[in-house]
Amino acid sequence: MLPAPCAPPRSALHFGSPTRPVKAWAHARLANAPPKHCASPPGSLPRAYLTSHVRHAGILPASYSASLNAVLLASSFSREHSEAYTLLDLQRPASDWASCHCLPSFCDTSLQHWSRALLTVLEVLSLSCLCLVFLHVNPANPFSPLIHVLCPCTQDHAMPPYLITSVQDNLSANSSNSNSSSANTPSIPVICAWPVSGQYGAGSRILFYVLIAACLIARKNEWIRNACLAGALLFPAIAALHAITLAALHSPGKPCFGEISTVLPPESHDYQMPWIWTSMGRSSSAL
Amino acid sequence: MDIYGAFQLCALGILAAPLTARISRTYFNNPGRNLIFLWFGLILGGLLSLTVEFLRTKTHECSHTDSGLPLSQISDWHYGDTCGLTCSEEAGPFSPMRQDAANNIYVIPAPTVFSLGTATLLSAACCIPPILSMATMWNKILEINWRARFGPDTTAEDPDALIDGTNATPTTVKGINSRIRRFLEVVEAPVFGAAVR
Repeated sequence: MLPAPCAPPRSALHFGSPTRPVKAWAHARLANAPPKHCASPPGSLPRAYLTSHVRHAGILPASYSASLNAVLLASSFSREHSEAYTLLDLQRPASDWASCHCLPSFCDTSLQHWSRALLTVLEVLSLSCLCLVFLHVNPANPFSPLIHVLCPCTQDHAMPPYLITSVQDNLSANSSNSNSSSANTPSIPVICAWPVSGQYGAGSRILFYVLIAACLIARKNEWIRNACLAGALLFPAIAALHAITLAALHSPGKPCFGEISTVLPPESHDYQMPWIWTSMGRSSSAL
Repeated sequence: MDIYGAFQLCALGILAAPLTARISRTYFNNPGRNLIFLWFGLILGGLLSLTVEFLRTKTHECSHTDSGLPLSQISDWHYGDTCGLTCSEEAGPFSPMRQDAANNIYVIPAPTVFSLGTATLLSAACCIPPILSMATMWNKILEINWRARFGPDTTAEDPDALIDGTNATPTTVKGINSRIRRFLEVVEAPVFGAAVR
């Protein structure tokens, strides 16, 4: 990444009005932050920082996602209701269709279904595009788009106002310890893992795709559609069961790495995040 | 790495299922609807578990191969190296799900194209559609059960009668609603994308 000057401070936008006393400490910290360049050397964005950033700096993402989810909720509800109207109210009198004020072509249910198929394809495409956006910003740092949304500078000192001082100092100390060697020498992230099982191999995946496609294409033939749908619903159900089992049988203390200090990231002692996630895993297992 | 495989199936299933299930009257009507409701719950549980698993999985920085050569890119990686990690069939880690013939475990470069962090965010985002679907579906289930018990709603208003205090009829309101719905459907894809992002 080439060094680029910091964008104009959007901090006022982030923290609301500067006159608000609650956020005064944040502004004080921001004013003390040195105006450096946006670029940071590879590896200098420590994982501890990233995770703490995501965990504790939830103010802005929360407000963003709350507003976006409200719109999403509204649109989904309206769509669900329209679907339910056409599919569940089967005993509707034919006069309803006659009184339909839309274009005749849109009164055709098959066209409606096709338009919905198109919408779903669009959804999938937008998700895929999103993945690509994620990856192209910085493949090594999946959170970078999030950080770009939050702050124009992806540098270590860009976010401290979000963090509680002592925690942040603690984190930066920890991260500088753990990353002091990797910041200077190039390295790649490795992981100790079992290979993908055969059930997620090419054969079963292609079968899954074919089943979904058959559900859509041959939806007029009830017997084909129902059989395909049964198969297409079964695949994710088995995968979900597998996922729940994987999470339930995961033992967090199991040493994968040679030293126990590297097994448990430093921040896990501070916030007991594994406990939270373990309990979440338990509740999802219960579900 | 099974979490990636499971995530792929779950994510695709949750995106495609609402469509495929809704076009099927067999599955969307009683009692198939209840089955779909349970299915959504199962997928939601699976996606939550996957989010947890993606978050739990930690990577380890490896700067040198076992033979001492510096590592700067993934193509330099030599499969079979352990990079100082305890990671073998004999020494562990062990899993009750991976035993006997399937206990092979290796140190591999962590995925960078679709990294663990990206997967965490995406699988958390994929939890939104099942939650929404379950909410609306639960609403429908209650309504239909109520109708099945107390009979059809006989107080339905005349679609062409004026609504009190307005100049509109239920038909025109329905038309406006469908127009808004169409607009929201167009907006939905980018908004959903932005929400995920």
